[in-house]
Amino acid sequence: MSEHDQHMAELREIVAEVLEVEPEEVADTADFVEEYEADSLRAIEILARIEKKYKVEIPQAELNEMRSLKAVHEVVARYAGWQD
Amino acid sequence: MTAPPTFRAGTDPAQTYAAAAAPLQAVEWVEVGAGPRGGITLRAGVTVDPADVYLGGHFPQLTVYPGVFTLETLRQAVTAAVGCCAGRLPDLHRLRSARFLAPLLAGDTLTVTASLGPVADDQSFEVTAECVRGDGVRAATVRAVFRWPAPEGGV
Amino acid sequence: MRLEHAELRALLPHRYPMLLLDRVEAVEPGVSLEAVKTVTGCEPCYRGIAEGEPADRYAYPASLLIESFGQGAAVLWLLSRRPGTAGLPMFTAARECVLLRPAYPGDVIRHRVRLDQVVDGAAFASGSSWIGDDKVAEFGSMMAVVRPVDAIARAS
Repeated sequence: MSEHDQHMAELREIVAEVLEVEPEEVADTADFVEEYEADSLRAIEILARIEKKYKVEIPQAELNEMRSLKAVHEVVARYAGWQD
Repeated sequence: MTAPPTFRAGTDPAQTYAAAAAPLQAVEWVEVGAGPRGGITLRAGVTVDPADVYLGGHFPQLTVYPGVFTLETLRQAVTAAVGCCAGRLPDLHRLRSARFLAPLLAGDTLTVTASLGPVADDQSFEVTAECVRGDGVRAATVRAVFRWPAPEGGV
Repeated sequence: MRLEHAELRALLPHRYPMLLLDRVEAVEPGVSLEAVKTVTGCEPCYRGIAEGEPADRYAYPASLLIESFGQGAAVLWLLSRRPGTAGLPMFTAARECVLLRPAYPGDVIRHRVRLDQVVDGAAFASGSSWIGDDKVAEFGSMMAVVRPVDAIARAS
């Protein structure tokens, strides 16, 4: 598994757990709010879990961006210095 | 190993309240139906009463039904629905996930819809519940494991 | 640092009989805390039990045990917030909490609380509750926010 795939799999698991769906139900570009009825507190919970797991700090201004798995990956990659 | 217990009709909400320590009578009515795989479904409701002794302290400036009282409502609804097993009441054993999404204030009604079971060998059963406020807003979701404790009260 | 009941009343908006901590024995603000809750038979949760019920019915309600732990988490968090941020702490989510054995009147419960994270005004805490050397509960993750009173009233 490439580093990119590994990170996507880990993030998918975090998102699925917070949204209480199965990981395979989380499509890469599905909008958390529209598809899974996520509220702002769930977005915060996703952010909190990511910060804890990867020991990164992500500015709260990025919360608005983090509306799909793909977008979450892009934001985290930027702050964690991932090259994928 | 005896067969795991199955659900049977329990008691009414007032009897459930009087059967064990509880901060308040957290259920006014409960309806029980059959669910899949030997489980059951229930609906139960309560109205937030600002005159309640505990609610007077939560909070003096504004009555807010605490999130843990939503869990208490669920616990009493489950107990009323399934009753005792070997003389023991079911209790909340594991809270997998609880989310409190909207506040319940004085006069608000809370309606719980839950699916229970089936019962496992260790006398536990899964409960998935959705709680809706009188205006239709979703107030809470809960996924939990309830269990009838072993008679000696062990873990 | 130790906080007596008067200081807990000053920090928390909860009042009798919903103020479910007696004392904080040790606290490192923003990091961890140990709080004590003594269960007594004259708490109102015991007022409604029918006569003649067996001993196990006097188990302290799980709802109040969770609330008591949550208040420990709230104290820990509020101590590290800057003063003047008024509002009511609201319990918004819990995940993987396990109740291992009941508490009864006379038991002294010790909550060991860690503040894991504060993200965008939401606090995440975890920990466990003990009676003597027995662990009675584990709290995987508890999440809370502080909301102004008028915002809560408007959301209803």
